[in-house]
Amino acid sequence: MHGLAISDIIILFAYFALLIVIGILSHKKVTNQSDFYIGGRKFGKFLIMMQQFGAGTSNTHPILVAGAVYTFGMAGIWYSWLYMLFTPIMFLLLPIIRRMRIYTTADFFDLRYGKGIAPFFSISSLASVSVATGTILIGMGQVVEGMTGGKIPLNTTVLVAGVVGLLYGCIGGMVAAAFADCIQGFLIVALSFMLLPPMWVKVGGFEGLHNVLPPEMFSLAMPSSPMADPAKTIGLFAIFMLFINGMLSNLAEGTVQTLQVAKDESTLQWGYLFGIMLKRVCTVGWAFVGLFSLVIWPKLDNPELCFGMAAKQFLPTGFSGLMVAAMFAAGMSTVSALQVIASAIFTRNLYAKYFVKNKPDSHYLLVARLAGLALVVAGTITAYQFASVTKSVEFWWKLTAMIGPAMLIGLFFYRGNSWGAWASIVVSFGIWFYLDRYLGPTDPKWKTVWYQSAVYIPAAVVSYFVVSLLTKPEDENKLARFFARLNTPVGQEQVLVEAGLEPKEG
Amino acid sequence: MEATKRKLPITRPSMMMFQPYKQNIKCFLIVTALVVGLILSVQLILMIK
Repeated sequence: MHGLAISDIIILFAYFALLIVIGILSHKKVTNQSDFYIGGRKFGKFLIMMQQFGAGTSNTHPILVAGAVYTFGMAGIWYSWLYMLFTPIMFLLLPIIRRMRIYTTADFFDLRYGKGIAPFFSISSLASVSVATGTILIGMGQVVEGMTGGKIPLNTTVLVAGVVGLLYGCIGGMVAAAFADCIQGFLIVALSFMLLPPMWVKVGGFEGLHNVLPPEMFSLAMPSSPMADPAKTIGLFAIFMLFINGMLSNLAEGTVQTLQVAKDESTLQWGYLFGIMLKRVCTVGWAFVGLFSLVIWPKLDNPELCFGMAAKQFLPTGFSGLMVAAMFAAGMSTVSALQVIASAIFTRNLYAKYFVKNKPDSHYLLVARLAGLALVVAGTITAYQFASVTKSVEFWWKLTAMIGPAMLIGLFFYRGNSWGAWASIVVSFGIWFYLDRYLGPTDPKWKTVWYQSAVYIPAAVVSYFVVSLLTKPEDENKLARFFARLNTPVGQEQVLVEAGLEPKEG
Repeated sequence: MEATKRKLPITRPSMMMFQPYKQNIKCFLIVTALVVGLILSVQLILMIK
């Protein structure tokens, strides 16, 4: 039935039921906006670990990595590992991020730069979250389509996943998303590695792989040669640019908001580290699935289907249902986390600030839940605008990386101001548009993330410094409040209160 | 008099943002070693024939 055994279908429905129960149980813990958006800032190491692993491990990642490795060789692993090089730096930035004591990333722009840029960020953030939601829903549809041989069509999956993800996210907020992340995290780890032994036997181990595939497919950095097509080679230059782009995009997407859930700085650092490293290890499993698939099915029209096909062929009955469930859950937990992020931005930074002010907390909580509904609908519509998951993810990376310089430099450069931030965003977007539309069609390398970002990121940084230095500085009192927060460890809020800079932690 | 004794927060970017230094540097090195170790071990595994 539908390409799945009865036992698989039972497992799938049991999983959906479990998610709804999690949503209902989490509902009891959500009494105000803080609980809904950031879990009341009470998360310990384990929850943060699973949240970082789960929220960063949507169902698109196994597809993306396996598909990229199928196309580029093992160097394709950098499509997911791009954030890994950033981990040591992020470890140092985490306490600073938590000390911001904000609810949303738009709050950062409000605190640091003033009102002009925060609404812009809020609107662009809602758009980029829609793209992300759409990407995840499409990715989920592709896996399920691959696993069921096309018997469960993409549209059905998108609809079911959208509705269930929305249900428990709306009810339980960030707490429900984190608990769902825990479950799907364990499942994805286990099931990803379960695929490897049977595929290994099928291809004849490393010897079989090396007999069939050329040596460059085993290199983590494809050696570039004059003959190589720069648009299809992930060499050291591409890895470096993916890292820089990834670092900036990571800051500007919802990460800063999800990190506000930690109860203290040390908890955040260690929970984050273990969650991220766990994901990097899993990525190796997904990459091998791509490499094995290249030997088993050498001529796939759509490489992104290989993960789903491998799961269908190499997992025993019962487990394929569990893999479909894990893929659904991975997608839905990320959708619900994104939905919480976006609904917080909409409600706090747009609705409560510009449209309906001074209403009770319960009013804004209801608006946040309804905003989540609208977001998933918008995301589903957006999902159909992109031809492939890889293209959609790349577009999201670029969009968010253009906002990143204003965030990162703004943390350390006192003289940076709103004009500089605006200049960096506008200049980088203009340059990207020119490269993509006018140079890309004649020379494909200008369509790649690495070539484009090698131009628009330096341009963004230079324009930030130049314009900031040439224009009026930000208000001193405003900057004092912002930097006092960054210099004051979590738990010492009394210092801020006594200085009259901050009445209480948000 | 009381106001001068009060501990005032630093209101510009400073190294205080990276406190506690010792712990952060130690952990930074551990994290870097983990990342480099993972990359090298995967590349070594790939070289097995």
